Amino acid sequence: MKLELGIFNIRNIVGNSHTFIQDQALYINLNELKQVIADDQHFSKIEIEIAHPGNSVRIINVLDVIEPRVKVKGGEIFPGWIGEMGVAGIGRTHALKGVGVIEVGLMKDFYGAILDMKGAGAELTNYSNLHYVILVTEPAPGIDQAEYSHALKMAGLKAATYLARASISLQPDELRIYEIAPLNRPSINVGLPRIAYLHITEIHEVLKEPFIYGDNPRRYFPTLLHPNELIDGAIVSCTYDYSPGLKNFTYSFLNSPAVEGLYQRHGKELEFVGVVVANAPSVLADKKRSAVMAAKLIRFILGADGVIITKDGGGHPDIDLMECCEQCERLGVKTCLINSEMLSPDGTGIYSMIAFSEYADCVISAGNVDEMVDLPSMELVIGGKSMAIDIQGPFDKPMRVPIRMIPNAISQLGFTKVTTEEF
Amino acid sequence: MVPSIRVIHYVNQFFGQIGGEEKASIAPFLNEKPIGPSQLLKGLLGMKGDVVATIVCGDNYFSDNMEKAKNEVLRLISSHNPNLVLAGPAFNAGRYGIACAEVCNIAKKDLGVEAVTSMYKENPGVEICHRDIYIIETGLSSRGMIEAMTKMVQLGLKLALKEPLGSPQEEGILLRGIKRNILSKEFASERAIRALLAKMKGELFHTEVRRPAFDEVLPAPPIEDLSKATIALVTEGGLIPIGNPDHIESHRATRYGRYSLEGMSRLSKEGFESIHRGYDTTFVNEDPNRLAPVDVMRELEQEGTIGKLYPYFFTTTGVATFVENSKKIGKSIAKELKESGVSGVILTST
Repeated sequence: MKLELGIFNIRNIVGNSHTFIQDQALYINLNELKQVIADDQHFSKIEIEIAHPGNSVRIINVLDVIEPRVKVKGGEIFPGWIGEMGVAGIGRTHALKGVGVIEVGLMKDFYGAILDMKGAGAELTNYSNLHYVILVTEPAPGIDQAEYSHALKMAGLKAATYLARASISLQPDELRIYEIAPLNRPSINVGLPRIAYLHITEIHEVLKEPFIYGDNPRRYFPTLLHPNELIDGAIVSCTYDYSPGLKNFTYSFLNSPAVEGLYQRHGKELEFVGVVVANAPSVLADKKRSAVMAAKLIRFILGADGVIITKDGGGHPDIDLMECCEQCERLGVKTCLINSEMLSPDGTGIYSMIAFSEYADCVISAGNVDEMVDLPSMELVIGGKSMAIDIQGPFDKPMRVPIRMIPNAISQLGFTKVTTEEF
Repeated sequence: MVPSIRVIHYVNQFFGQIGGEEKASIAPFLNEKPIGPSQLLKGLLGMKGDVVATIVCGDNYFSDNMEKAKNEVLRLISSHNPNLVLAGPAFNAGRYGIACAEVCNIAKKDLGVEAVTSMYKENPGVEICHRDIYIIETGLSSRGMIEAMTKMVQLGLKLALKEPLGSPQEEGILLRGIKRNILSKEFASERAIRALLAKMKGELFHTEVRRPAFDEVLPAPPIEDLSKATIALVTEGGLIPIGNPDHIESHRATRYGRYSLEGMSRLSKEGFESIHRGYDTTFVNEDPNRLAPVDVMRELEQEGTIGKLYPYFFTTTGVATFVENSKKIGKSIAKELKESGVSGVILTST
């Protein structure tokens, strides 16, 4: 499978009468964008705001962040959501680097993040480096959580593809080729360590799941994905009611740092043999089955000798992480896990994860989810006047929040520099 | 320049040059002149601080009269109004280490004065103060005196002057099992790939999270005669009377509730709901008995299968709840059940 990814480095975004890209600036016709995402049934209000890195801006109720991407030829992007159902990860895709689309919404139980564009909070997340198009929405009366979340997701993805469409006829700043040969072809890299990537999806309940190919992954057996499929949006966050630090945002799936890091070393230091996604079911017997089947794919189908394992969510998926670790190690596949830690605000917790296999001898920490961060005051607040979850305003004033309120700061996909140190 | 940091140094009878074991029962006293290692301390502080007093106490006196000794030392410390208290180094001397730890706790917690001690990692004093006090790690014997004192002074001055600390390795601090967030130079994913490659090649690799020791719980003996047993209902499913009178948190609970079942044949959905944020509460809110099965327990009670249902049920919210809080809640509930003669519990987990 081969994917061409055209990279457009965008250094500014500006409201304009037309939407186009010039000199690394994205000009946006905000009225047209509003019409593209308008959906009279589900939203009583849509406002589009813009924010830049370094601005004295606090964005609240951040439900998802999406990088603008569009399919230029061959295959599909965000399969199962927009366009035809088709294979992701082939053909040519364009991506606008340095830009994010933010879905903002407020409804009972919706658990949005707080993103500061400068100051102590901004320093903890790479998301503060993006120029944002922020879709601030309010639900129409009588709309339930499922309908609203679906409408928000469609609006976010439509906005992301609308913006990226401005690049279709242009030459990208950089063209990256992502290619891994099918499994049964003789490897050109004989002798390099064969490494797979396993991601465990959370399937807690409604509004707490990422979707695969547009579907809720409530029940499935572990399956193979080509890494290119992640780059083309095969996994999209639909996690609207979840502690923001413990969910993975669409932007981070698109830019999956494990996929990127393994690709960069592919053919040089290692052979990247593919991606497996597995489930985090609620019943222990199902967890064990899922782990066994995932390990089997990794060892005997992909022929991997090593695997990076990540997960969504906190709590019970720790068990899946450890079960998968154990089953892989038993089959002779060396593992390295990435996980955030729950150590209480003062860092004194002893059990940072709810399960910990004796096989888990290589665990990378994405930080203590509970540690508090002092955010400075901001001149402007975008995203509403209240939040659904126990965080009170006024939001322009200094705030003390757990780091898990800051999007991607403790990214369990490993897309963060935050970690813990013992002292 | 006038020295700005006022330092009090705590030492035992041996380092206070009073004598050995035979003098270990001596009560605490204060000397405004530096004694023993305090003289070394004076040199290390240079122009930045001054040793305003040395407190000397016998190790046996401290351990045999702990509360009295602590009060006496507290009084002596506060009489000289220091900015910094240094205790030890105690190396592997157990009673001395315990005294140093307690003295530092007094300074920091009771008087709000910065304190540093120093000892060997297996000294029993470590356990007493390591969560709150920085300990400079030493070897077993007093040969490391100069190095330990140097590091104590460097760290103590930084604390007293509110200057940023270096990493634990740079400062020589004994790791306390407490973690704080820091920024790495690389993404976690990059560290993971490098660690995995090293592990696969059989090279040394660094794990950032070590496996903790887990508690083992021995099950209670079986109930001999269920028909005479009192059975209680306990749940972590966030079941609360409508209105949540005890303000039990919807996640990361610190509290639990205890609610009467007197006169109830079942829990009504008008009376109870779940506030738990970790599972889909639709079914529980339709019928709270499916979380705390009062209806079935009443039937069993009527049939005589069980003796009786305990007249209160207990409830908290088990989602991302700190283990330390869970333990406290669990112990408190278990204590009441035990004292009330309850012999079995149905513990519904979500």
